[in-house]
Amino acid sequence: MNKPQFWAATALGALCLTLALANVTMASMNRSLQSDIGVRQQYVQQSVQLEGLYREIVRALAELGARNNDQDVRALLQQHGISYTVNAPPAAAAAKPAK
Amino acid sequence: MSAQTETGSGSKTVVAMHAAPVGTAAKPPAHSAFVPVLFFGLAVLTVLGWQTWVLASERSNLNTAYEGQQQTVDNAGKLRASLDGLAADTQRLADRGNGNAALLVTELKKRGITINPQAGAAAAAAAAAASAAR
Repeated sequence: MNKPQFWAATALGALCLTLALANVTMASMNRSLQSDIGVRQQYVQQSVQLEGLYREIVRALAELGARNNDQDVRALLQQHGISYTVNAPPAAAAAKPAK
Repeated sequence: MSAQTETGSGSKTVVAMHAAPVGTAAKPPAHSAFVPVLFFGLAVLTVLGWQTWVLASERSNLNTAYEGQQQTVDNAGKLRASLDGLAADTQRLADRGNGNAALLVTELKKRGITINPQAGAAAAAAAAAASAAR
């Protein structure tokens, strides 16, 4: 192996080593990022379940507030950007047909 | 050096014989290790290059997925802050003696959900700080 061949082989080896190190680093970073994505996905899935609970609480508060005309509950919901209206009972049901 | 043989028909065959120098055996031609090393290096380089390309592509996809999650994660954080705030306020209202709020808190407790008003305030503050930082 003459001198240029030696240096060519050395350069090739150095390039391979650099690529190998880069690959190891990149694989590690990818695994970390994948883990982060998994954690965030789990967070979102748990939040979907909590959304159901949130809706139930809001509906229960609104029903209780409307049924008992509770101004504190109405104010509490309004404070959180939620308002509700109470539907008037149908007039036809209230008024008896005249005979 | 040459040797002559005579056959019966009278023709002569002359065979030339070179005298080998004494003490020097015939050496096989020398092969350089460069070509095998070059082939091996190129093979390793190809594999590593392909692996780098695959990993870079995977990283790009992961980054896209991560960024795509951001809006959903933000919305989930807002929802959690809203839930914590509403639950904490309901608990405080119940503590002040509101019957409807107390009824709701009791029903939640029956279902295994306890409200911590301090946690709700902390979550709301954290959500406010996070939105202010963005």
